[in-house]
Order: sequence, then structure tokens, then C-alpha cells
Amino acid sequence: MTIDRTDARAFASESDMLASKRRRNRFRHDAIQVAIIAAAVALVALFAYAVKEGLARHGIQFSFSFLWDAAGFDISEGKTLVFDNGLWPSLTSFTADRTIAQAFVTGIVNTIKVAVLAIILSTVLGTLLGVGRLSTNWVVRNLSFWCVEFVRNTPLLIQLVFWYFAVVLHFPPLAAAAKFYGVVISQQGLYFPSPVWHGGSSPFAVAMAVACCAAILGLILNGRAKIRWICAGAAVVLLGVMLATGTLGLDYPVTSRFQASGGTSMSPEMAALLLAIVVNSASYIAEIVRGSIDALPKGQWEAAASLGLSRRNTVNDIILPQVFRVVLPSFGNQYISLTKNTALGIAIGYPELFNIYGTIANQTGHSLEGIVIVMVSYLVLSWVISGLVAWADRRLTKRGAAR
Amino acid sequence: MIATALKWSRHNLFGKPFDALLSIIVIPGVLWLIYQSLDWALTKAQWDIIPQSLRVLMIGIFPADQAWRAWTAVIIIAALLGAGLGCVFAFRSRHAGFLALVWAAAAVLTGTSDLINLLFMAAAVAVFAGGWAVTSYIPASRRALMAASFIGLIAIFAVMSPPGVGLWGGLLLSILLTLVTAIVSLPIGILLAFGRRSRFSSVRIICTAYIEVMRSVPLILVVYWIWILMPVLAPQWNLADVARGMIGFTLFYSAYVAEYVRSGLQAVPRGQTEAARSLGMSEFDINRSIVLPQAIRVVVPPLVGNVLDIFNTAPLVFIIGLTDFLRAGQMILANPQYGDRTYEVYSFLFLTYFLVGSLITYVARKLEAHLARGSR
Amino acid sequence: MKLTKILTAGVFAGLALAATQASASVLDTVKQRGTLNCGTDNTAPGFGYLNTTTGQMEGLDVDFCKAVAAAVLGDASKVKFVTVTDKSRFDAVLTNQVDVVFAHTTIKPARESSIAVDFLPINFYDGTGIMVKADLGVKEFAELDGATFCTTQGSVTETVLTSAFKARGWANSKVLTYENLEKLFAALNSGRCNAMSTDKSALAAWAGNSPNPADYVILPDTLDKSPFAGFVAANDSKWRNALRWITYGLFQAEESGITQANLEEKLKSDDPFVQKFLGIGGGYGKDFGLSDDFVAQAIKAVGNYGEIYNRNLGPDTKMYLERKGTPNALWTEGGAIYSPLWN
Repeated sequence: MTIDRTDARAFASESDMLASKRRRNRFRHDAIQVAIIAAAVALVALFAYAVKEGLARHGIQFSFSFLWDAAGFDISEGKTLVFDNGLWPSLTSFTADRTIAQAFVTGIVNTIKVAVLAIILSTVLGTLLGVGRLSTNWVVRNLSFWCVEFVRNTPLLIQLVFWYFAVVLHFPPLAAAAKFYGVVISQQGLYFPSPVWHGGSSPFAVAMAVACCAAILGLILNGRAKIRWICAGAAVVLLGVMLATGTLGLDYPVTSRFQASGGTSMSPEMAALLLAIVVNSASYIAEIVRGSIDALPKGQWEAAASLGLSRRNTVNDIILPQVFRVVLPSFGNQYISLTKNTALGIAIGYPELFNIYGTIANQTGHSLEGIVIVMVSYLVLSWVISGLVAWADRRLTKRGAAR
Repeated sequence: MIATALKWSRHNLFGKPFDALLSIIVIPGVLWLIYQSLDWALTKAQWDIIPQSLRVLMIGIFPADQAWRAWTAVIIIAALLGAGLGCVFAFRSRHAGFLALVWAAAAVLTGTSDLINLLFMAAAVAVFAGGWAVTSYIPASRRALMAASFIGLIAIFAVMSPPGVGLWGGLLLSILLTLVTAIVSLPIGILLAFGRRSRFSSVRIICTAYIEVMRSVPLILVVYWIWILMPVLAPQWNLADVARGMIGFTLFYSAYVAEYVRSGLQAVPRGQTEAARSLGMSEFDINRSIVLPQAIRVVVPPLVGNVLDIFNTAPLVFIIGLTDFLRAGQMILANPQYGDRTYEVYSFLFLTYFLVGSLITYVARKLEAHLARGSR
Repeated sequence: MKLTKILTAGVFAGLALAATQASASVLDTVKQRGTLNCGTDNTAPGFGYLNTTTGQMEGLDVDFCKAVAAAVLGDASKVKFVTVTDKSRFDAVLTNQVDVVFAHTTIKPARESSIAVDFLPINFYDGTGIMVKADLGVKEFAELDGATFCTTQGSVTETVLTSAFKARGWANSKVLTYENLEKLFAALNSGRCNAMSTDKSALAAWAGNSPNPADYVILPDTLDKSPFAGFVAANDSKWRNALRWITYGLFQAEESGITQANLEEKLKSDDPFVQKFLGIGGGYGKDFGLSDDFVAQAIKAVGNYGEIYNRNLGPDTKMYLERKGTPNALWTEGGAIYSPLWN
């Protein structure tokens, strides 16, 4: 700045001086830009060079060709993409004769599985806890407060290890497992009955199934209470008819000596990871919800009260809709950190991406290549989540503005 | 008495039908849980394992005859923490009494009868009070705090290193890791935050990319990555695991600090910089003496919260084979003859983590209230 | 631009310097540094674990670390134990974080060919075994179709189990991997794993150290051999040879009857073989870049191989592993512990 001022004295007219100053400034600006970019490129090149040299010293080749080798190890659970029948991929359980690349896919699938379930459950639980902290009931209020405080002030890792080793693994063994209506809770895993289609392709059965799906979709997507009730009723009736006529059956898990078969199952590792992450994230979400409820003008409550609305109606119809619009970006951040937290699954043997990376790195020795793959996967996951949240945010604000 | 209790419970527990329903469901459950936990803690639990393995929990496998080194580190940490506290809360004589109580409680709870340990503990508490008093009574000393922190860290490294950096462990390692990360990531984070709003688009893009990438990948990955990459890149340095762990943590948390600081920078009114510019101040001076101090003031509470995050993620160093507090506890349980003391050890770990965490949260909240009051 | 150039040139020069430095043998680095960074496990009783009451590392692998420190630096206390897990041990040595790893590691071709480490002589012969809780009532491996097997991540057992299932056509058996043995044992105890699978020595150690060893049954089946050896980064023959002959020295010492107790006496021996072996008036050390009395130093620190074995795995230990009749006996007693000729 000071240099420009002294140089500028040479110019007679003021506009000339300004133009020249701007030109000089721009030139200097550009020069610095180029220098910084060059330095950054040089740094990256240097970094790559140093890595290559470092690896060469140990006789390691940086290459991704190992991805197409047979894995040779098993993964305790998880599906991978398989291109067995033509180009169309299908999800199949991973086995040792699949490739390393498919092992990575298994890890990604397992990570996404936990992340999606955790996002849904922790949003529900977190909102409940957040509202609970503002309850008029003293016990509920304090209980919510202390739960949130305790979870937020202790490390997630110890919570996870505790959930796994001290809670989930202390479930009864399979032989003595607790059973409720076909749900089996044991230390070998949680087993649920799953629906099975017996209807074949008879047009009547298919029509019923389609109608039922439509009713459920309507229930979720439609905003009007009346239509929601109709949809809910229709769905229940249709489900009942299908179950009664045997078009839709329930596949109950059957326990054998070491495992249960049939139904859907969730491994203890996944259950513990899910529990830990849901409880942990719910506490953060509760704080976000409480914070934004507190931030709403007091007038909202008073206005609702003066209209004679009950507290529950006030919360459901006045407060929460406004809160959700405000908190969505914060929720998004929480969803991203929740997804990143699934990497702790390695501590309890859940085969998520980072854990499978560990196995692969150890079996093949290609730890650096693996890191690149894992890093890119997490980056993409984070971007997808923030993209989705931004999309939802735009939709919500548009809808809010239209009203 | 009974009447007031009844009145209170009618108001707070059974005020509305829904509340009454909740109370009926929740209260027995809570009471049962409290009874079960107390019953276990007071009659069934075998707490003797805690004092027996306290040293491993606190300092890991650091040699016992070198404990004075660990104590010296604790004293330096206490001085730094006290000085940090003094910048915001004034020291009062009643605090001295409270600290004495803390010392007594610590002495009783740890059940130590070793005179030297008691003296060291007393020294740590005294130095904490001293640091607190100095910065609260002599405002000029606050400016030296950042420099003092760095000197303190170097001193800790100098004292703790001779027996071998690889021997650091236990709660002390968790705290050291937190402290180093918190202090070193602050200047880096500030630079990144300014870089993100730089006039040069290249700087902006690089800083933004760095921050966004770091915020999108798990910490455990960054730590592991740095750990395997450092020796490949710089084999001649031969950095210890601990140092590499600290670098990983610092690189990761710098991005978070940068985001906090950036939000603080945005909170500084534009008029301030414009006014300073019209006074002919250089950009650097404006940023250093006008913008930054105000921004930092706003972001102190979230930055303290960030310290809690660091402390809470410190157990992730298990991935690079370090024995932090949690891992030390697990190592005690690894001894098969203590296999049945799982709940005792985990209770102790949970309690300690919760105490430290709550303390940090408490300070952050007080700070927030304090700064909110100050800005009025 | 100029600045960038200078910077780049500087960094490249630094790298070149680093490259020349790194090409020196680890042996010289260790001597220069004055300490040995030795990678060991800390969850494997008998091999490498932390005695929480004394705060000291103990085990067969730990004793080998001490022997190396004594032989190279003349002082067994100059060793720094760096904890490595099954997962991190190769990275640890490849990235120079440790100079050598003794962590009950099985020799496999892929490990020497694609991971770029060189193995030292086998210092323990083990096999992959299976352990179940006694109350499961299982007597042999064949009864375990459909069971959940647990093992550690990154161990050979992972692939051994997979191929064992395949050979028997078991489709429902699962392999669950944990990051360390202590979690594995906890999972077996809780019932999450029907069977715990790892090296037999480790199984014996965990069962033997538990409050009630009778609760566990180690099945008679041995799924695969697993010979243990230490390893170093590849392509450093100077360091590797020094370590190989330190190991052989411990074997030979047992064969020649030289123990920690009678070392002083043997040092005065007039047997030329013993004299040269222990480095009295010139020995073998110089050729390896070690002092001539390197074997004597190692024996002084930890004793001969038999003493190391007895201290960590012998009858007085909780995990007692019979030595007689196994490959771990000296070759003179029908085992496979064999040192090349020292002359």
C-alpha cells in the first residue's frame, strides 16, 4: 500500500493515477496468486515424490492393482456388489473368494447401514430428549438433563466399549434367549421376523401390495391430517388382509445350536455400535433442539397459551415446526460427525470401512493406497449428507415461505 | 414440611394428566436403577483394584522411580490451567479454602499415604492457585499467557522425555495430548480462518479445502494416516508415536478451531475494520489488534468446548498403540485375574472422564455467561 | 516464484540427504541413538505383556528384545518397548518406528515377498489352535460347524480359518475379528464367540492366567503350523545378520551349557570354542559390527534360550507349555531349535 502511494506521485491526473494503481495492484495480486499456486503444486509434487521414494526404499510399489486380487479372508457380516449376472449389480454376502475391491465395498455398505439407521433413530430420540429437557415434569426434565450431560461429557469410545462388552455381550446366550413374538434377543445377535411374499404373481395379491405401499407412502408424504388417517387405516386393513390370506407371511427366526436362521438379524457388534452412536448423537441433537427452542421468542408460547392451546399442542404444532427449520444445518453437521464416528466400530470388531481397511492393509501390505480409498469414501459420504441436508433445507424454507 | 413436599410434587410431578402418567412410569424405574447401582457400588463391588492399579491408570508404564518427572509435568499443567482461569475469573480468598478441600478430597479418595505424593499434590494445587492469582491480579501478565503456554509445553517435554517418550501413558498422556493439541491448534486455526477470507482466491481455496477435508474424515483415520505416513516422508526424524499422535490431533482440530474463529471473525462488525482502515492502519495491524481480539472474545466458550472434544477423543490413540487413560484401564482388565472387575474399572473411568468433562463444560458455560454480561 | 524455487531446491536437497542417511544400516542408527526400539505386543502373556503390578514388560519376545539390546549396546536396559498390534506391526517396522519386531509373528511367504520385511530365525514353533468354553461340551473342531469363531485382525488365523471352513464345506461358520487378544478373550467369556482361535501358546496363556483354567478346553486339532520369528525391514543385511546371530547365539549357548549363572565361570574357560564363542581374545562380533563379547552380553542379560523359555513358558509359569517332544526342544533332544556351526 505504502509503495503504491510514493510511486503514484509521478502521475499528473488523478484518474491516470487510480487506473495505474489498480493495474499495479492487480498485477501484484496475480503474481502472488501464481506464486501461491506454484508453491502448492510444488508441495503436492514433493509430497508425492517423497512418498514414492519412501516406499521405494522399502521395496513397495504404489499401485492399486491389488484391488482385483482375491481377498482370501472372510468378513463376519455384510453385503457387497456383485456383477455375476451381466452388468446389473446385485447385493450378495461377501465371501473369501471375492476381490479386495469388493471387500472395500462391503465396508462402505456396512458403514452406510449403521449411519442411516443411526441418523433416523438419533433424530427421533434426540428430539424427544430435547423436548424432555423442557418438560413440566421435574423428574423427566432432570433425567433428560443428566443423561445428556453424562453422554456429552464422556468419550464416545468408552461408551461404545461399555455398550458392547458390558451390555450387549451380557445378553442371554442363544439357548436361553429372550423371545418376544418372534424377536430373539441374544448375545449372538438380535433376530426379527421378516415379511415373506407368498403371493407369487397373482394380480390380486400384487394389486393389494401396491395399494398398501401407496397408502404407506401417502401416510409419510401427505401433510393433511385427514388424508393421513385414511392412508393409515387403509394400510392396516390391507396388511391385515394379506397376512390373513397368507399372501404375506412372516419368516420367524429359528434358533439352532450356534446361530439362528431365518428372519432378519442384527449382529451384536452392529447393535452396540448403533446404540452407542444413537445415544451419543441424540444427546447432541437434544442440545441443538433445546437451544433453538430456547431461542424462540417467548411471545410464541404466550400467544399459543392465550389462544388456549395445550402445552403439548403448542410444542407439536407451533414450536417444533419452527425449530426444525432452524436446526436443519446443525443437524446436518451432527449427521456428518455421526457418520465419521462409525469408524470407531474397529474397537469392537464391527466390519465397517475403517476396520476392513485394517484387515486389507495387513493382509496385503498396501496401507497407503487403502488410506486414499478410505479417505475418498468418507469425503464422498460427507458431501452426500451435506448435499441432502442442503436440499431438504431449501425445500423446507420454500414451503415455509409459500405458506 | 410434608405439606410443602406434597404441594411441590403436585406442582412439579402431577401437574397435568400427561405429567402424572410420565411420573408413574419413570419414577419407579429411576428409583430401581438408583437402588441397584447403590447396592452394587456399596456392597458387591470390589473397589480395591482401583488404588492397586492407580499408578498404571495415572501414568501408564512410566517408571515408578521417575514419578517426580510426571509430578513436575502435573505442576506445570496446573500452573497453566490456573493462569488460564485467572484471565476470566478473579481469584478470591474463598477459592483458596475450596482448593484446599479439593486437595484433601483427592488425598482421601486416592488413599495415598505416601508423603511425597501428598506433597506433590499440595504443590500442584498451590501452583494452580498461584497461577490463578497472578493473572487475575496482574492484567498485564495475561498477554504473556500464549507464550507461557508454549514455554510450559516445552518444559513438560524436556522433563518427561528422558525416560523415553514411548513410556508416556495413562491419564497424564490424555491430558498432555489434549493440552498440546488445544494450544498448538489455536495459532494454526487462526491462520486458517484468516486464510479462508484472504484476498487471494488461491489461499482461500487451499484453506477452505484443507478445513473441509479435515472436517469430513474421521479423526481416527487422520491419526492413523499421519502415524504411518510421517516415517515414510521423513525417516530421519524418527518421531515417537506420541509426537505423531499429537501432530495428527493438531492437524485435525486446527480445522475445527479455524471454523470457530471464522464464526467469531464474522461477528465483528464491518464498521470496525472500515473505521480502522480510514485511520490508515495496515491490514495486518487491523486484523491483529482490532478484529482478532474481538473475534477471540466471542469464540472463547466454543473453544473451551473444543478442548472437551479433544479430551473426549483422546482415547482414539489406541489405534496407534498408545496407552491413554481408557487403554490403561483396559490393560488392567486384560490381566485375566481381574477379568471380573469390568464394572469397577469402567465405573472409575466413566466417573473420572465425567468429572473432568463436566469441569470443562462448567468453565465454558461460566465463560459464556461472563462474556455475555461483559458485552452488554 | 524465486522463493518457491529456492524452497523447492532446499527441500529436494533435504530429501536427498535423508535418502543417503536412510540407506545406512539400522545397526548404525541404533548404536548412534544408544537405544533399541523394539516392537512387542502387550496383550500376549508369555510373549509380551505388561505386568501391571511391577509396571515391567515380560515375556519371551520381551527377553529377545533385551538380549538384542545387551548384545548391540552392551546394556539390556537400553531397550524401549514400543507396543505393536497384530495390525500395526508391519507398518511399524516398515516406517522405521521400531528397529525390530518380536511379536509372535508367523512366517509366511507373502509377508517376505509383498510386505518387504525380512524374518529372523524361528524362535518358537506354534500352531493355530481352537479353544472353547468347557460347558459347550465340544471335543473336536469337526463339531463346530456353524459356530462363530473369533480371532485377531491381521493374523494368519483369519485366512487359516477361512480355508478350513472351505475344506469342510461349512457355509454358516463365521469369523469375527477383534483388534487385540484381550477383547477376543472377553468375547469368548461372554459367549459371543463359540470358539477362540489363535496360536496355541496364546490360548494356553489366556486359559492359564484366568482365575479358573478348567473352564476352558483347548481342542486337540492344530489347524496350521505357525512358526514365530522376529523381523526387520527388508534389504538391510547388516542389521539382519547381526540379529540372526544373536538369536543363534542364544540357541548355541543352551546347547553348550552356558547359562546366566555359570557365565562368569565359562568366561574363564580354556576351551577354545567357548572362548571364541563368548569373545575372549577375539570372537565373531567384529564381522557383524558388534562387539566380540555380544553373545556373553546377551546371556548375562537374559540367559540362554532354555532359560528364556523356562522363565516365560516353563513349568513355574501359569501358562506352562510343555517343551519336551515339541519342535521347541533343542535338536539334540529331538526338537528343531538348532544353531548353525560356530567356528
